[in-house]
Amino acid sequence: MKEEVEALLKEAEERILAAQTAEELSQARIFYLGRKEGKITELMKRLPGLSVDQKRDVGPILQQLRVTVESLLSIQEKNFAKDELLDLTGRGKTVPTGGEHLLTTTIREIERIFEGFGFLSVAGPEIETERYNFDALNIPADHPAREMWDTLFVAPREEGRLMRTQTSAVQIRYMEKNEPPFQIISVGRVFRHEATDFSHEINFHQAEGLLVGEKVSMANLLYTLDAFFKRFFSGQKIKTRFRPSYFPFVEPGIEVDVYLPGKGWLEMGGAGLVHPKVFQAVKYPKGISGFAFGLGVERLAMVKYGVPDIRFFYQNDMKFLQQFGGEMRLK
Amino acid sequence: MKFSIQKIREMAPFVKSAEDVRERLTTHLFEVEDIVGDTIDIKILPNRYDAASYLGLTRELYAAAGKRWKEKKLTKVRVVKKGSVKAVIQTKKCARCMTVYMEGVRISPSPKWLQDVLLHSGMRPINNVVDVTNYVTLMTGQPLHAFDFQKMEGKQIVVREAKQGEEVKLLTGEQIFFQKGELMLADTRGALDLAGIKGGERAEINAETEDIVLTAANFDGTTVRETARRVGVITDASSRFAHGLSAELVGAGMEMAINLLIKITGAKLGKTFDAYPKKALAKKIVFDPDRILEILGVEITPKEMKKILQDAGFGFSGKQIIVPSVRTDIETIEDVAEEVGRIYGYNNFSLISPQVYLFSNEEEGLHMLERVVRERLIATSYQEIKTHSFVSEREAEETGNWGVIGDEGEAVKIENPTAALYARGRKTLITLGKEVVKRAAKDFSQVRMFEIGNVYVKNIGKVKEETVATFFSSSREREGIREVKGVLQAIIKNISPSSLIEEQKDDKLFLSLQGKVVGVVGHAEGVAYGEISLTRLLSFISFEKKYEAESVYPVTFRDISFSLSREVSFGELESEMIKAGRELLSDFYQRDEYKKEGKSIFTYRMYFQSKEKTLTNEEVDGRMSDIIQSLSKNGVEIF
Repeated sequence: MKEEVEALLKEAEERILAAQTAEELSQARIFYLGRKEGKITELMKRLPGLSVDQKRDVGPILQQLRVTVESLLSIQEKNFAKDELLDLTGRGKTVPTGGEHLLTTTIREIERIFEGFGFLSVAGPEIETERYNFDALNIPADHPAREMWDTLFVAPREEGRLMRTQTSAVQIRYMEKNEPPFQIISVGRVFRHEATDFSHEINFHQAEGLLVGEKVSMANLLYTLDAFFKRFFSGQKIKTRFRPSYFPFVEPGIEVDVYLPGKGWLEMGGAGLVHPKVFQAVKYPKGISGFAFGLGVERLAMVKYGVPDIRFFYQNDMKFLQQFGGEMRLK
Repeated sequence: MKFSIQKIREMAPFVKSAEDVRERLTTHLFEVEDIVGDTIDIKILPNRYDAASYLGLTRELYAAAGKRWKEKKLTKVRVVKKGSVKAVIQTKKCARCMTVYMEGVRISPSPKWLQDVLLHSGMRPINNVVDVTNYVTLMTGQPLHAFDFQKMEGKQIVVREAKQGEEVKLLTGEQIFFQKGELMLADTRGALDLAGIKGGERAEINAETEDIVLTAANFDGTTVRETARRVGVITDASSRFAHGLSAELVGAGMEMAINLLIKITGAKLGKTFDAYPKKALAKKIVFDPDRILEILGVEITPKEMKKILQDAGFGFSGKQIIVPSVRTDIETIEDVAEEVGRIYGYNNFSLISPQVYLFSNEEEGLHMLERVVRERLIATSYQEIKTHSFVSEREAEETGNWGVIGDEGEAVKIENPTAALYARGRKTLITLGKEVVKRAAKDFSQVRMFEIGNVYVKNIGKVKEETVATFFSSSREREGIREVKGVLQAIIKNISPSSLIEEQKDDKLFLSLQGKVVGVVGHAEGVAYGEISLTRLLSFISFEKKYEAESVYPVTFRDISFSLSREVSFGELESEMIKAGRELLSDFYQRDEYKKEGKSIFTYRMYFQSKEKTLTNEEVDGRMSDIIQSLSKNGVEIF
C-alpha cells in the first residue's frame, strides 16, 4: 500500500501542476479528494479495515498524502482564482465631501506660519470708526494720505463710521487693551470704494502683523517678512526685496516684493516701524518700538495657486470651489 | 508722473540705461510704473513731491550712488526795465507769492531740446513762454504761471480768498464759480485764475503777447486739493500743491524761469516782488546716531550716516542736522533714520530675528470657535463659500430678516456705494448664500454649502456686528430642514453643555440657549438654511469634556408607521414618544415618509437599550405599546 500511496502522490502532483484552468483543477480536486469517490478518500476509507500494525504504518503517510495534495490544490486554486476576482478597474464614485474655500486655506497657511513664529491671532470689527481706521493711525481728517484709501462710508456720514479700509485698525484696538511686549496677527476682511476688475474687489482680505517690544528694528522686520515668504512659498526658490514707501502709520515705511522664478518681482504688501504718533495715540510710554506689516491675502493666493482673477474668489462657481475644496456629485 | 530718461541721464551721467534708472529709483526712492520709449512713469510717494522734479530726482540718484551733486549756478541777470507788478498776499492760505514783470517777449515755438523734454515728460508744447513755465515746474517742482500784462487791470496781483459766487473762465473755456474761501490770483477787475490749479482765459499768453507777469506762489495744500476735487479739475500743479510744497521752492523756480525767458524769448527783466510774510526757518534735528542704529538695526557708523545725509542735501551744524528746506516731510529722528536706511539700501541690510514674547493667554475665543465650527461643517460634507459683504436694497428688504439677527434693526446703509448691488451691509449670510446653492443645485445633487462671516445691523444709531455661520442644503423640504437642524444641534452640542430650546414662529424655527436666540432654521426657494451666531454662542461654550460610561447591553429597535389624522406637530409627537418610552428609549429618528391611499405615512425607528441588563422582547414590546397608546391619544393612526 505504501507504493500505492507514493505513486498516487506523484501522479496527483503532476496532474495538479499541469492543470491549465480552474475547471481542470476542480476536477482534480474531485478526483483525489471527492467525498464519495476521491482516490485519496477511498484509501482513507480502507484504513479502518487494516490491522493495528498496518494502520501504524500507513496511517501517517496517508494523512501526509492528504495534506500535501490539499495544500497543493489550494495554492493552485488561488492562482487561478485571479480570473474570477471582482473587476476593480471601473471609475471611483464621488463621495460627497466638504471642503475649505481657497481663501480660508490661504488664511490658515498665513496664520499657521505666524502662529509658529509665536504670533497670536486676533480679530477686529469690519465696521470701524474714523478714529480707529484713520485718526489713531496718524491720518488726521485733512491728511492727503486719506486719499490713498478709497473709503466706503456708513450712512449717515456724520456718525463717523466706515467699512474698514485696512486691518491696521486692529492694531489700535489691541494696543489699547494690552501692554507690550507682544506679537499679533490679524487676518480679516477690508473694503474699498473701487470699481471691480480682475485685480480689484469691493471686499478682500488683509493679514496684519504687529510686533511691539523694545529696540525693535528694521532689520527685525525684514527678517520676519523674509522668513514668512520663504515658508509660504516653500519649495520655490524665492527672493525678497524691500523698497522705500510711505504709510502715515509707519516710519520708516517700506513695500515688500517677492521674486518668483518665472514670474518676476511681485508686490506683496506694505510694512514699517510703528510711527511714534501711533504709540502716542494708545498712550504707550517712550522707549517702546515695534513693526507692523500688511499683506494682501487674495494677492498671495493668486500668486501661489495661479488664480488669474480676484473675482473668482467671490463667484462661488462649483468647479472653482471643487478644485480646492470638497466634491459634490453631479445630477 | 512722467519724466524723460534722456534728461535724467544728462543730469546724472553715471546712470547707464532706462533699466538702470528703474533699478536705482525702485531700490532707493520711488516705484517705477512703466517705461515707454524715452519716458519713465514714476509713482511719486505722497510725502515726496519735493523729489517730483528733475533736480529732485538727480539729487536722489547721486545720493543713492554715494555721490554728492552740486547744482549748477545760473548766469546772473540784470534788471533793465522799470515796469513792475506788485505781489500782495491777503490770506493765510498763501505762504509766498513772487511776481516779475518782463517786457518785449517774442512769442514763438520753443527750441527743439525744450519741446523734447516736455513731450517725453508727457506734456504738450504750446509756445515758448508757457513751455518755459512748464519746463521749470518739471525741473524744480514749483508750479509757475505767466499772464499777459496788457490784458490785466491795475499794477498788482493779489492772492486772496474768493467771495461766494465770484467767477473765472479757465484756459479750457470752463466757467468756474468760486465758493467762499477758495483761492485766486486777482487784479482790480477780479480773478485771473483758479489758484494753484489752472490759469484763467482773460490774461492768457498768445501770439500777440508782448509784456508778461510771471508768477510763482505757495498755496495751502488742503485748500487746493479740495477746490480741485470740487470743480473736478485735477492738474499737475494742483497735485503738487495738494501734497505740500516748501515755500522755498518759489525762489528757485522763479530764478530759473527768469533766466530761461530772457534767453529763449528775448524778454527784458523788470522789477521782482517777493511777498513772503513769514520765511520758513530751516528745521533742525539733533543728530543721534545711536537712535538711528536702534531703528535700523544695521551696523552703520556715524561717519557713514553723516555722509549719506550730506549726499541727500542735509547740512550739519555742531550736533544738529539741518533739514533741506524742500524736505517738508522730515520732522523727527525717525524720518532721518528712514533717509539713512533707504539710501544705504534696505536690500543691503542684514536680517536679524526679532525677540518674541511667549504668550500665556489663549487664542481669542471667537477665532477658535470659527475654526471648530468650520471643521465640523466640512466634516459634515459642507463646502465653504465666500460671498460679498453687501446686498442691494431689495435683497436687504426681502431676505434681511431671515437670519439670526434678523429683527434687531435695519440693514446698515452705505453712504457711497459703488453700485446698487452694494447698497446695504449684509444682515444675514442667507441672502447671497441661497443664490449660490440654487445655482449649484441645477447641476449637482444634494448641494451642501456654508459660509462663516460677519453681518451687521443698525438700531437707533448703534451698529452691531456679529460673526455667524450659515449653512445650506438643497435636500427636499422636510429632509433638508431636518438635516440643517441636525447639523445646528450637533454643532451646539459639541461646544455647549446648555440645552437648546426651540420655538417655531411662522415658518422659522428659533433656537436659544438660556433664553438667548443663537440660531435659526428655515426653508425657502428650495433651500434649507440654518444660521448660528458664533458671537452669541461664545458666552456659552465649554470645550471641557468628561468621559461618561455607556451601556454595555445590546440595542434593539422597532419600527412604527403612522399617519396624522389631525393637526399635530412632529415636535409634540416626538416629546410624547420620549415621555412614553422613558428610560429605555435611547434614540429614534424618522426613517421614511411615503404616500398610501392619499395619506402621508411616516415611519419612525425607535431604539431601546437598558443600562442594567439585556432587554427581553417582552420588555421592549411593552414599552412600544406604551408609545403607541400615547401616540394614538394624539390623533395618530397607526399602520
